[in-house]
Amino acid sequence: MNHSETPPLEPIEPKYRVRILTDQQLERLKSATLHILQEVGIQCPSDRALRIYAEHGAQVDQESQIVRLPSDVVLDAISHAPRFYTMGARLPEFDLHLDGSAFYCATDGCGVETVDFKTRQRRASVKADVAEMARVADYLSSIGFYWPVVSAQDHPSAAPLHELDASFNNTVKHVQTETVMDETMARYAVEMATVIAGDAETLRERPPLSSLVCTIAPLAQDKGGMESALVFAEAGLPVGFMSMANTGSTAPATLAGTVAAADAEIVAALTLIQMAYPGAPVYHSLMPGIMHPRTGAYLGTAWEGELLYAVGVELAHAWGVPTLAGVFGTDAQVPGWQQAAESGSSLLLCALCGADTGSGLGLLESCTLLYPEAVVLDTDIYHRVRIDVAGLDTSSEALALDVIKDVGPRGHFLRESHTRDHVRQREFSDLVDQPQPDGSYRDPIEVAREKTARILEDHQPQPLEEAQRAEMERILGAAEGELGNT
Amino acid sequence: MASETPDIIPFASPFTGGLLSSAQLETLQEGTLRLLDEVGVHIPSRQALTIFADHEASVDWDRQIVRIPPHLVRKAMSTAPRSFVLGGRDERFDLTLDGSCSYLCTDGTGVHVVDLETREMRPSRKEDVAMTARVCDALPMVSFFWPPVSAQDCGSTAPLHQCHAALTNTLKHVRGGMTVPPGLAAYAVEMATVVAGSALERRRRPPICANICTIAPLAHDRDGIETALVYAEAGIPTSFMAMPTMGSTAPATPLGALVVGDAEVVSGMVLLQLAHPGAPVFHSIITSLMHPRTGGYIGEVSAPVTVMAVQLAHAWGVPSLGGGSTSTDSPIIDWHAGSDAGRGTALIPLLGGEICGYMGLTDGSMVLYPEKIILDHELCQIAYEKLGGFEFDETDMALNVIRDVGPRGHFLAQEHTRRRIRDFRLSSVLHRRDSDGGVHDPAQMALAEFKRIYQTHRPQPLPPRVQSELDRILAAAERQGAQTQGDAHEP
Repeated sequence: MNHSETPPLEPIEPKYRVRILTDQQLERLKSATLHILQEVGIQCPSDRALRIYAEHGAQVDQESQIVRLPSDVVLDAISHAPRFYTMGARLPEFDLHLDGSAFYCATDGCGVETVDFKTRQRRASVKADVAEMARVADYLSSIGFYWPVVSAQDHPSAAPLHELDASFNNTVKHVQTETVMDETMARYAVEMATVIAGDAETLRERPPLSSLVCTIAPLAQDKGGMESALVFAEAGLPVGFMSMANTGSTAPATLAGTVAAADAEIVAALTLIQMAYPGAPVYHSLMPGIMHPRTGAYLGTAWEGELLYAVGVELAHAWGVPTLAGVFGTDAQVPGWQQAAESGSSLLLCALCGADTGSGLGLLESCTLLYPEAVVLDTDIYHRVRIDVAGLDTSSEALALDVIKDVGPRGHFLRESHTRDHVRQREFSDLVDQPQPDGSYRDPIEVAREKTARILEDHQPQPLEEAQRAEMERILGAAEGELGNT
Repeated sequence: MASETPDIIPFASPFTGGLLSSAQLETLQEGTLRLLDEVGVHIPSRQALTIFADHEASVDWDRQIVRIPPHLVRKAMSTAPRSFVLGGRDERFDLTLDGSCSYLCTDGTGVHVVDLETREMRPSRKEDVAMTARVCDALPMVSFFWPPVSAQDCGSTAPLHQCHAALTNTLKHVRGGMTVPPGLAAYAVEMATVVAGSALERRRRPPICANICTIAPLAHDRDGIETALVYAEAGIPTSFMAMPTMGSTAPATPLGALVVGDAEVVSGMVLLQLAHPGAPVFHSIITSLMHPRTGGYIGEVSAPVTVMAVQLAHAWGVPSLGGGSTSTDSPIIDWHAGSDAGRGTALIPLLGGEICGYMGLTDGSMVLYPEKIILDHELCQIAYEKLGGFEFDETDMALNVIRDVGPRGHFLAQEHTRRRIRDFRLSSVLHRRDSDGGVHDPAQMALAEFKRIYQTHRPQPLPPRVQSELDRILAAAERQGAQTQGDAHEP
């Protein structure tokens, strides 16, 4: 089968930086985290994790499963975590070098419903959606790595592994799973990643898979999630921890209180990984929401909440680890004004704060509903932000004084060769300002649907080798056999 | 009984770091000085050219081109104030333009309105200016009212009617001065004097400011520049706005467009300083891009261009009208309009600029959708709340509350939650759900909110004496306007 080239990545490379918090404020937040971990502790229902905590100087109450972490223990453990590392891809040119100079974004993930691209009907998500969207993500230069965007609900016994199978078969880019939540499943996932990498050494050097585990707010961990993370870390695959503390319900009704509680959850988990596997690549992800005070709903994009995504970037760096920042995301239910209005602002701010990675393109309705064309729409916003922070050419050629002099007052620049050369260097959106015969512009959502259809029709990324495909199927079969019976 | 006008909310810009180094800014300014000295600016006004000639600029009377030597530019700009006040009807609506914060404004000046009731698009009228002024009076993020549309039912004196409709319907500062036949500019000044109470007060806290567009590249309009001289003499703060379009009326590079625009704006400001040293002036460059296939206007350009325009203004020692914008090229309120407004509001605290925001218009500032004022205002308010900086203290960190709740608890029953959750504002247009859990269309919610304000908000009226004085001024202006128009038609 002929395959198509995957277009090169276009990461966001900010030439400008902003700071949200002062060093002093960051230190106060870190002190609050250390205080919470020492005085209140976190609840951890995993015997394996409790043992590791206890062996490394934590005070563990076996009955309540509460772990209290002295500050020096936390600081010592986390000092081993690398600030920079590489997240590998199937093809080396798509490796993501987290070195502080570039910001790579992923699709959103783990949605549960899809608005079917052909029938336009809303339905439960299936494995084929993960595969199709992996191809779309593979094509888009905005997507640095792929989160299985929805859940493979047609494979209930081993859905996370089917999501990985669909992903690895349909993109050459790095894949990050956010659904592998128990130890057995994690071992199969690592096996799949080894098949992609080729051998255990390459797996460590250029890991094609990483994992994200959510903590439980307030101040708790999930048994399966933590045990899965330990398996990933043992194999050298990056693992990150995300707190989605909700201001008012699972976190205090103040932003600073939410940050302190959420950061404590994340840092407790990072500490465990570094205790078990010092130097293992890890990342920090602060994605709180705000409780709608009337309905109790989780609002991911409302009010001051989004500022906290950028605060999360600064906190991650203050702890000396990379970040997975909250970008995009909308509470809107259909693509349109609200979706677009809510989408770009956190991306811009996180880029200017120096975020390493971020996720969130393509889902609506608070990260639960996939419109396939939404990832193309979000890509347009992504590129605007990329251009916004990319700096400007301030050379004398760009200043163009001689051209202006030649044209003079009340002249025009249409026939200058300088214009011809430079107008081609300007980047234009391929969604907005698309003219149609009557002189008006086309609806960008319609253009995005056409573009999505074109990608789905035409783009076939380089497939896995036959042997790799067979091996993946064998792993899936074994996993189904084992997990289906448990 | 009159309604209370809420206090305005200026937008501090905690993140503006400045993108250009001082050396780069100097290079740009040197470029402007070279263009003004070597190429010059076309000004078809004998009055303006005479002022330049009197100050030893080089005037080519045949070609109507003035070339201004660098020392004269620098000397003239040295008398322009860095900071001044735009007055509101009460002092609490005064805007101090000193760079410490941004004041948000409405967009202007469109020519079509999507009618509030019929929802049909029609030419704009004076009543539309009055309607929007009244609604914006109730919106705290609007600090500066620029009539969003023109009073096309008022003939040659339309700009004066726009000024009148605004001054009589809002307590906020009004961008009431525009290009008019120079003979009519004095009537705008007179309206400002009457509203301010005296000529002295008009200079101290001018209730209106003026905007004059330049012509790209490197030219001024006769009426515009002569009108500006009238405003400057009266102490009405005046901005020159350059709108260079990359590829057609400016080079196809952002920096080239900036330097063309800067030369136009600076030439106007220099003229006003030569004629009336110390006159309050401000600087505005709105760059755009020519659509390479259609030649159409693309209003959206990258953020660094906008922030550099702001920095250039400050480098010349004057305030800037620029910065983040909610305006859109989209003809309707759709995905494109949302993406423009969302990005624009996120940029407000990053780009700075004393006046920015530009709420209410679509289609490249041509069409007023009343509900877009509410939508844009909402996004500005969200941006203000979430991007206004992050201050906290020990009580905000709520460590005792976290300890009391402990792992796997919840915060719903905490007294701290009940108290502090009220700090979060509920949006009137976003995240509103119906009884089935569906989200209401924000544009529909915004339209209802616009109508609600329009029906209920009645700002403090001007004293009857002032109102009748304004009517008298308008009547006199109309007589002169009719006469001027008659003269113009004579062979």
